Amino acid sequence: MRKQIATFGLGESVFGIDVLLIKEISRIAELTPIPEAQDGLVGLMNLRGQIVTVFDLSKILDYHSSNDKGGERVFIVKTQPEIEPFITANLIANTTTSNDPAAFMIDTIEDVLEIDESEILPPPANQGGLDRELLSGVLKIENEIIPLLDLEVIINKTKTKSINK
Amino acid sequence: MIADRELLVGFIGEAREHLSTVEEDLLALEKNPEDKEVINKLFRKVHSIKGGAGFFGLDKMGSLSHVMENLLSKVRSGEERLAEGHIDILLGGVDQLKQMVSDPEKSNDCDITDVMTRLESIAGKYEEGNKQTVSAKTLDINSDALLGFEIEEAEIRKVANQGMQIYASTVFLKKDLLDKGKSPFKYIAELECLGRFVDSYLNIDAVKGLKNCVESDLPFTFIFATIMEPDLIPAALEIPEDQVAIIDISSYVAPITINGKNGEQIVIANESGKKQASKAKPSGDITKKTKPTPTCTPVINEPPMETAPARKSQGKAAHVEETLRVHVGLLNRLINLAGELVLGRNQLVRETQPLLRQHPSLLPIIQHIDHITAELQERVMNTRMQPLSVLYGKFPRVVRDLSKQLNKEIDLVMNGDDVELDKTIIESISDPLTHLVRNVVDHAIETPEEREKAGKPRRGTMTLQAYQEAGLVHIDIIDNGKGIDPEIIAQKALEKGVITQDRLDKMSDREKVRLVFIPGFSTKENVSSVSGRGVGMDVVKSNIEKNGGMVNIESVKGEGTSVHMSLPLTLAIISSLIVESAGHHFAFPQVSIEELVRLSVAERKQHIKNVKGKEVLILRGELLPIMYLADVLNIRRTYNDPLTGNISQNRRAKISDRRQSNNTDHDKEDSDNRTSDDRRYEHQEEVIRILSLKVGENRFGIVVDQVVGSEEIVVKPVPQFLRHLTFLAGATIMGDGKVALILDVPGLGTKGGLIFTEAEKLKMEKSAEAYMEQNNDESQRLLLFNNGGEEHFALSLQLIRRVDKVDPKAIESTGDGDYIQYENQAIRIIRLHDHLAIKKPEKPENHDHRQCLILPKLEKTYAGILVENIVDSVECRLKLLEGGPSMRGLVGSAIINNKITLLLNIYELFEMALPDKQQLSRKKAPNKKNRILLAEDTQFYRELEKGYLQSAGYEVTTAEDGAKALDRLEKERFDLVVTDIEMPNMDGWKLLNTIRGITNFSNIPVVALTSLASDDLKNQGLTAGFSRWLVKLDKTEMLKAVHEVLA
Repeated sequence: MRKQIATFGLGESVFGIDVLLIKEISRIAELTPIPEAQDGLVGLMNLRGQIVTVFDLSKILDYHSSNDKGGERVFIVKTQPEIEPFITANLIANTTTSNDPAAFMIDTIEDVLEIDESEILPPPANQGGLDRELLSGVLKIENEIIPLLDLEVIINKTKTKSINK
Repeated sequence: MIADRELLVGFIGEAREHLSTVEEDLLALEKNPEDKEVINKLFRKVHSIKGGAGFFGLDKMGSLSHVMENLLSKVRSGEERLAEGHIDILLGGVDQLKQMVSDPEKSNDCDITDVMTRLESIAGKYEEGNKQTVSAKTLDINSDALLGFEIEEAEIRKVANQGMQIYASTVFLKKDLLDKGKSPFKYIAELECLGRFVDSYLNIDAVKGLKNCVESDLPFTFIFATIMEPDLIPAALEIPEDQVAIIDISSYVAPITINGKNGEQIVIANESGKKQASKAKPSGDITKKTKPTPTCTPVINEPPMETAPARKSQGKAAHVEETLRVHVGLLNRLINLAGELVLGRNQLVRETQPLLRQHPSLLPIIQHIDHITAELQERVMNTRMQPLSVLYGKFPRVVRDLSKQLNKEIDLVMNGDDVELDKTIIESISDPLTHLVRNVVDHAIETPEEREKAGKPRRGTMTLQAYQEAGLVHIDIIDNGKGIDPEIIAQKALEKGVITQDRLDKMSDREKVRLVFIPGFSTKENVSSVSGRGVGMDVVKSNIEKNGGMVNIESVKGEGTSVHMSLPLTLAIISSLIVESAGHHFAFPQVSIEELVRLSVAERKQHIKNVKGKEVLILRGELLPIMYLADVLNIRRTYNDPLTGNISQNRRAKISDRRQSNNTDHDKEDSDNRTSDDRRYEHQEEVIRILSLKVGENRFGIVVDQVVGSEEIVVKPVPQFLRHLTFLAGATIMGDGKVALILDVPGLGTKGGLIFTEAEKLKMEKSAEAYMEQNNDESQRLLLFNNGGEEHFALSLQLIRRVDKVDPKAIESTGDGDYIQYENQAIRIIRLHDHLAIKKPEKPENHDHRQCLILPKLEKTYAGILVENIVDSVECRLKLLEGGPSMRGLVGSAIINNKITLLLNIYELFEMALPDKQQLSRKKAPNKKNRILLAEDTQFYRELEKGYLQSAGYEVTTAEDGAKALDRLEKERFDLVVTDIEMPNMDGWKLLNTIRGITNFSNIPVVALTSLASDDLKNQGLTAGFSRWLVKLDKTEMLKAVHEVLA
């Protein structure tokens, strides 16, 4: 099955996510910080009348980027009701996102890759300083290895962090 | 034939509406069986259901409603009187119909024999008899009776195709109308409710000459189209059978059209009104069976419901309200979009503002869009609003059935059913409200026997009233039942271990009654089947509070209970106060804000104190714990320098630290900072803003940097990622497009470490008392003035009626003294230096200079004090100087604004100035010295009042509070007790109660002397047993009252 993978840059690395899980990529709007919010939650923003919770992806991933240029853009993840039809249509594997919209800050937008599902390989134990459990797989494009983020795990991480707090 | 799906849905919707009101009508009829109008209404509704059911082949529904209709018809014609049992049976029929309507597909499988048998047992005789007497003649369309009428064929065809029949009827104006007290016009209007009035003809030929025209009856013949069957017509038209003829129009009926799609089935979901059409088996479940009347064969494309009698009758009674069922999801989406539109509008308005100068034509367009957007949003929001009648509808039945079951007699009064609430809220309060109503029937209202024993009317009353006030909807459930015994509640609470004896002892009866809200609390010994098991008032409370509402209970043992609920109108939009703290905007729901306190630097010292390490705001004698919003939320408290725009952190931890921190503190800082700090005191920091917030009965203050303004905001739920933050109530998007957080006031209080336990409160009060004792005098508003000399004077503003500038030239001298005309009266001038040992004004009165006249609040005293200058009016706590200047005409002296100020005793002064005018009251002075005990905590008042009483010749002993008064009372004999109400240790109420409880003292009259002047309180006080309820500082009134009480 053909798949489209959106890739983006965070620090020096490039990550990929299934396009069907992404609602849109947007310039970050003015953020309202939340007192006592969990680590990595940077605030709320208004996306055309909808309130979106914005996370700092590098903090959620515990991935410390030395690069400080970005943070201007976010990708907004489709909510559970929004991905439901795609799951039903077997276009994406069964997964859970959130009921309220969440957005993750990234540094750069890279590319959209057209691939075949079979090209996705299981993630190695440690990929570029990232925990294996955060990844749904890796993509090998020429000499480059692009880790694919498991959004379900990442969204869960934002929640568990909130409980710990 | 197959019924069209949409039509069936329409019919079901309508039937449901009818049934919901039929119940109401039946209950009304039970109360007043003679009410013709209600009977007619009922009849038409049931008839309409019958018609529809027949049309759609819902046979069981049809026959059931037919039997009911027959019974009603009999009642209408007066052949049968409705006994109570009949109503029960009819209600049973209604229930059965409701059930069938909720699932029309299965309605034909319902077993209705039981209901039918019972209905037939009362209606049966009628039916049999009637069948034989149906004698409507069938007229040929060309018959003589129709001479004079011209009916277009198309009209007949239309009528026929709608399943109607045409009748020719004759009504005699006198016999059938005038004698029955009807006007022809009204009669026709009634006919219009039952069908269609086609044509009419008044036969004047029947009148033989003018003379007879009054006596002889005028026959009025008309053609009338209706779906009613011949046997009902005479009763419906209230004319004898022989005056009705049916016109045969069978030849005009169009051939039967059959819906091609075979056997589409419909399931109507029970509550939601959602319809799901399933393409099911092509069975003939809902097929139309040929109606018995050959002439009546409806056709799909002309729905009979359109002109069915009931539909018309509705249109007559109220105006026709067309409705359309819309999915709630769609409405919610519309609401969101409208919100976004508002946002877009705001941005548009802001962005185009600078362009308006160059393009003035933009202005009307922008205004137009502005206007439409606002209206659109309002309308869209309104779509979610539903009247309370939606909820109220079921209560009459609930109350009736329950009270019957329990052998109680209860009248239900319902007010405010037109008050509208958001659909969500309506749904959420449905259960709690039902619970409360059941509670009243089950627990609150006694049996008729018990009531009679208690000297109450047999019938209990429950009142449900709803009204809108201050942005909230209030619902009261009031009964005149047995009330709640606080002691029983307290006992129960103790047994259940939800409270300690210690706490109970400190609780008032009111608080004890409120214990019913504690989770798991249920007082009824044996849980009855009636008001549910295990579901107590705590569930009611939590359900109401979940929706931003509040619930409270008040009860007087033996007299009744009242439960009060207040709810927000809508959850989606609330009015809020936007504040700024540490540079962020936050919204507070307006409902939880009691008031806004703005304190200047001078007031701050006076109103903010440090009690046991916690900052408190003293607001009208009450102590509110206060917190900084920035501290509670752990965001840095900042100071936004108004001059440089720099934001620096505020160094002071507490407001009350301000005085100590003064200059010494800043000297250590480097000079740059210092200048900015100095300025800061002159600017923004001068004023502190405190929101007084309420959480249930408790209040606390939150200090914010700025109050931005109040705004209607659209509440969006807290995103799931932030649900653990209990101080958040939601989020909203502001006019500038930014997201702002809506704060949850109770959550904020908890977060700030405020615990509102009784004990904690008591501790606060104790420390407050201790604090108050140090400054044992009440705050007073004083008018400061001088007499042109060095002395400073003050007079309580409470004693002053008016202050005005007067021209000294207008003063006229008479032998009796100086007078001035004021408000058409001659006012005697009193000059302070004439009566007090003070200096005269230094310079002779300048002719351009205007002096001030102070007119006191004294009855029938036409005199005023003339002074040189009014200096100020201040609010301060008075502490009389011991050993300070004192003389006749003065209460004493105190230091006000760093100056020794003489406090005038206006009564003494007037006595001195106008000895003749005051003689009368002197003469009234008693011969024997009566002993008066004066309880008053404020030194100022104590001295003043003591003086008044002594001047009238009484012997006065004073006490600082109720407890001390009681001590004195036990030791000495007094003829009268005069007491303040608000006092520490023991207040006036308690003092009175204690005195009344001790036999030796119970005859001593007690007079209340208070600054609490409301009529309510006064009545309360008089009922409680005070001989008089007097307002402080009115000497004349006080002496008069004391004199009367002692006489």
